[in-house]
Amino acid sequence: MENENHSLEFLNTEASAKYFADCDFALKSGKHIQHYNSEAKLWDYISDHYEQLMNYYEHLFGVFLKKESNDRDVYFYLEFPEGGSGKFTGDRHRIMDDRHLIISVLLLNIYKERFFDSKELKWTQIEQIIDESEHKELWQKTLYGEIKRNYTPNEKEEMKRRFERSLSLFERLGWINWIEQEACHFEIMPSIDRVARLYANEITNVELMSEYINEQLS
Amino acid sequence: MQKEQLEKISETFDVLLPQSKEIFLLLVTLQNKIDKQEIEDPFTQRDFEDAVDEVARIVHPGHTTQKENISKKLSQFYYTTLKKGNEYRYQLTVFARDLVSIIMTEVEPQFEETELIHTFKRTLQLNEDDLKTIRNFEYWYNYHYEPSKRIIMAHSENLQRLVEAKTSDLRTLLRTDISNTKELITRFIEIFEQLGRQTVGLTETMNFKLELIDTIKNAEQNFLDKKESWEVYSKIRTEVEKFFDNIDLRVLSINDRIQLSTSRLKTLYDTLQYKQLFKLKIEKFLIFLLKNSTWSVDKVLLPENVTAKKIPYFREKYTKIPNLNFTEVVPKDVPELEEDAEYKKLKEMMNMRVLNRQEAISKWLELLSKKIEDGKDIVFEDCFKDIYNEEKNLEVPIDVCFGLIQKYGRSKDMEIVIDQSSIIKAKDDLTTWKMKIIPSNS
Repeated sequence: MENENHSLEFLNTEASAKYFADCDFALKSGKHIQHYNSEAKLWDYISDHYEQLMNYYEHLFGVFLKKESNDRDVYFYLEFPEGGSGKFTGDRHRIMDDRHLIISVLLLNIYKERFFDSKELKWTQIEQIIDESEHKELWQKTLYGEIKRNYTPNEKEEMKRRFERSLSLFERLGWINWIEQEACHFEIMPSIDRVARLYANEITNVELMSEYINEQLS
Repeated sequence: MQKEQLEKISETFDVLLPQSKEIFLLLVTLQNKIDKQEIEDPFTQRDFEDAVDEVARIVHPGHTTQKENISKKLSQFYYTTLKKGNEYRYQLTVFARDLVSIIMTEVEPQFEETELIHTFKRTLQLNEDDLKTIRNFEYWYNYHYEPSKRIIMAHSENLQRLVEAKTSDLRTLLRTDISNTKELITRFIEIFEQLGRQTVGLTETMNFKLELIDTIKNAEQNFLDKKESWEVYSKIRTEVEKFFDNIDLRVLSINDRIQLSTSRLKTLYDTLQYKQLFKLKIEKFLIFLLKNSTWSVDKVLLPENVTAKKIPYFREKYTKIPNLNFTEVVPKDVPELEEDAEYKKLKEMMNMRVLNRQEAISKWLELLSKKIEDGKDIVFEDCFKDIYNEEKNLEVPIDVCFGLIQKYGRSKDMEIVIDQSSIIKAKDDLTTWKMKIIPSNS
């Protein structure tokens, strides 16, 4: 390489031959890599070659390899520069769907709430939030499209299917880990913290945003 | 036998188990007073009535209690009456004492780990004699192992419940409205460190099991000579190993939770305020999204001031190519065609009929169109009859008339006129509409 800072020498190592491809595919697919199960090896590899990989992605792809932590759990992911997406143009990136965002913030909230507890969640617990929580009407409006006293089994099934679609995306991103997918039983992973980072500005200024909306309505 | 037992329980249920908390609390109070030697055992009528009043003050302050009723409910299973000198006295039954003891252990677990290991060493310890004969080994199993197993189980269950309750209490720490949170955290740290010490105590007790299992394994040769002895030995050995494996897992899980909570509490101590506020803001953000999002055609739309964010997304798509092995192609048999001559002839006739009809329709359409273009009026009724008489097929005049309507219906130069007067009597079997196509200017 012309510039020593962007040396790709590290790709000649045995570890790179073993793990680089998997890491690269995972990161470019939007995965957040954590020290967990089979991903632990990839996490170790990225951790050992963090500086070189950071330069690699920044120089060749115009994106940043980020290392963040949620309490003590460190995770890695690729972040786009502000207002751009580097070489991830066209179908190499996706925009967070509105429903995905709401569900991801719900999971983030549960994760933070369960600071001391297990982060496992079952479908019955999600149903409880939708059907019995303080904000059940808001949830029903958002997930069913209308508020009703009772929903038909088909409507419930359709809502669950939509919810599961979001969860499947989160699983690919590494925000959750299926324990039993058929039963919709999963664990919220520390990298759900990324949602808080993606929407840090909105979360910090939530009161101002509410005021703005209220002004618009009045 | 089981049915009889169930029936018996069903019959006596109302008096077998306390039907009100008042009655149960009374039993606890009496047992407690006896243990503390505040009342004699057996106790007097006066002691009984005082205990009833004491419980009533807790359960129903300001209300009077029917002492006779309570006494009657208790008399069958919970106390016996004895005569001491000139007066009658009461004594709690073994059943009543055991019931109180079980409940008290549940609500107030004792964590005397040193004593627990001491109990184990005393009761679970296996000596040479215990393993000499299968009868001795069975005796140890029934009278030493089984009771100790119950204690270990109860202890670990209580510890697990306590850890869960304390962990649940911890959630209150993330609320911003509680005062002296840091002091509260310090208190929680102390509780969890204490719980941790108890787990260590339990774990030490569990280490004792290794010695025990080894001793059982080493005694294997003592029971090889008789089939019956070997079967009993194997059964006991499997049960002991299984039980300790299960308890091991349980203790590990409790320990993990305690360690996690303790370490998190220590982290929380430094970052509490920030965490509380951030958690609160996340919740507010969630409610903001829920309140201000709209639903449109199966889609949720976020409020306008929340911008959608981009994330990398690259999914490899592989097209599955079917695996075809051309070296082993088995040619399929082609069935020989059989010709159905009768069906073929019928089909040809049908086709010929359709063709003839189409031809006739075209011929008539051409003829009548020419007449119209020559400026002549077309009276549908007459045409219809002419065509029918010649073709002997009703479909032809219908299609011809329909074709004319289609062709000239929208023409500016032609007009379709219908005589709307009702037909009183048809001259023929068939009556058509009195419809004409005439040039517009005529």
